[in-house]
Amino acid sequence: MKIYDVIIIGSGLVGVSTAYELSKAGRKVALLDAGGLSAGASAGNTGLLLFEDETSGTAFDLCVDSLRIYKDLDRELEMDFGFGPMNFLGFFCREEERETALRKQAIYQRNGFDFELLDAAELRKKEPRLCLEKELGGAYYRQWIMDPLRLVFAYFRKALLCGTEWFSHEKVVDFIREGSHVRGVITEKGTCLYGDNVVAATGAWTGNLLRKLDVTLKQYYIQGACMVMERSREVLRHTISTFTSPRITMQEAAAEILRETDWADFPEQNADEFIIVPDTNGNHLVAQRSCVSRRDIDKVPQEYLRDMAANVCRYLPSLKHQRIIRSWITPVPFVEDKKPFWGRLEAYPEVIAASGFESVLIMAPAIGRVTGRMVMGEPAGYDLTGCDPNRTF
Amino acid sequence: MRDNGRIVEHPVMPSIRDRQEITIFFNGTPVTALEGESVAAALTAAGIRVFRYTHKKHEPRGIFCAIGHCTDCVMTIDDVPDVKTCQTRVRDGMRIERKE
Amino acid sequence: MRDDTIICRCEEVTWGEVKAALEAGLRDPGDLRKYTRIGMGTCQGRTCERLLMRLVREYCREHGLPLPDNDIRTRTPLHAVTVEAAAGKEE
Repeated sequence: MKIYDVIIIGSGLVGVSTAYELSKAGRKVALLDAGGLSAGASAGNTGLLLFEDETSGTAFDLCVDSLRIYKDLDRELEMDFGFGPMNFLGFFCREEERETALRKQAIYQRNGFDFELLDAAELRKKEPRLCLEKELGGAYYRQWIMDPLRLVFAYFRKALLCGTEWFSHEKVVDFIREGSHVRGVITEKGTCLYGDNVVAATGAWTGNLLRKLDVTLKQYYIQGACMVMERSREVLRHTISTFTSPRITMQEAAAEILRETDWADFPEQNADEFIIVPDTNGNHLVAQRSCVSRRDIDKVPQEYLRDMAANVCRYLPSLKHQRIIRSWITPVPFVEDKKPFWGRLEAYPEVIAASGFESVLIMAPAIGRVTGRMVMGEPAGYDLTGCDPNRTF
Repeated sequence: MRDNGRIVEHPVMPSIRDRQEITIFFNGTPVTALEGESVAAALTAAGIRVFRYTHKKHEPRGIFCAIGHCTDCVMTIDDVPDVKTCQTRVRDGMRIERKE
Repeated sequence: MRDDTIICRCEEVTWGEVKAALEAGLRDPGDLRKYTRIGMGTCQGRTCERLLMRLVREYCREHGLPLPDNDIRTRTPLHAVTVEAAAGKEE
């Protein structure tokens, strides 16, 4: 009977990067997914790598270290995944945003990243097709972008070459238990896999998965809708968005509500965010009409498409003839205290939870390495006390 | 001119013998077209087979499916980009652009 | 079928690239789409999907692999629609 060193459930960025790091280190890895390769948020995002406003401490260190890995990752994985610089223009809707911008400028500049405050005329000079009704100005800054699908594939391909075994369309329906120990997993198709460690890298589905062990992770999710337009010759030179993300504001409001109310009574929250990204393939990606809801929204409702399109018409009217070719919606987990659930479960020490990351894209390479260390019993290399999956709220 | 590849008499479709001649412009050059035909047909009859070049490998493309399905035949028409030429009828004075 | 035969005209994906993805361990058509860009262009697989599925099934039979049991997922808009039409602002 084959016993794997680790069974990784979930083939998103967390799962594939961890599988790669462990296979590279000579461990026997089984990588499972209920569907195909990376069906969740890892396959549905814009590919932008960003330091968020609130990043500090451990999260900041992880981002910085991850970026260092990113710069040589295409050589390591032997595949180009479109990693490169991205210019941003964030425009203000309210005067108060200028203060936040000044704070962000200080952080960025201290760390050697470009960040400039601009008035309305300067904004229009940078991107002539941008139309703003109330001329408030905004900020220009530089970060990075990559093609998230190609990164998943690059990690996946290398992981398999290093010996990872891939089990696609194998939904885990239960854990194989021996007393208070987890010995493996059973899938819907009846496949039994035995392993010394199990990593739950299942993103928005982690709560459901760990409920089978009677473990409750208070992880909620934001449903974010995106749409992509056909490739055009005149691609924007910047990612353009509102400076403050309404999605982040909504997330904070949702966290507040959850402190008073049970999830069972949670009132649906919506946020209309405008962001348009000239992605690594020359398409314009528009995101993201978001929603925090108990409903499992699988298809993009027509109103979402209409709202995203209306924003494009409003801010970039010259793009109104461009055709939308596809839309999608993915759940992104969020946790009340904004930290992931990352570490071994007290009740079942063989199981490592690795989900709820807010900035998973920018941190992915580091997350893979650290989760790998956790599996191998090595020190993580960072202070992860805030990420204890056994913490209660 | 009328029959540069065009089917003048067809067992089922009406004859094009009495169709009006109009002028459309391809990259600024005037081209004679017949009222009622598609832009793709008009360009083909005028000897223009390449409608665009692809994004990645800059390879020439023109008509492929000719039924509005494949999006190979798109061109900029009257400043509107990515219009299916096989699904668009010519209009007098129409401006069609191929980016080089 | 040669390695440089174009399967997806919109995204210029060749059979060689699709084969590389199959050899790398992918078989689910949704995965092939995501990781080779086949079917991601303007026509969203209308032209190439049938050919792709036929080739994938042939490849699986040749190499004794299980056949994929699903197709490329369809998403809205079912037909490419201009931004202004989707916004309800068409004149």
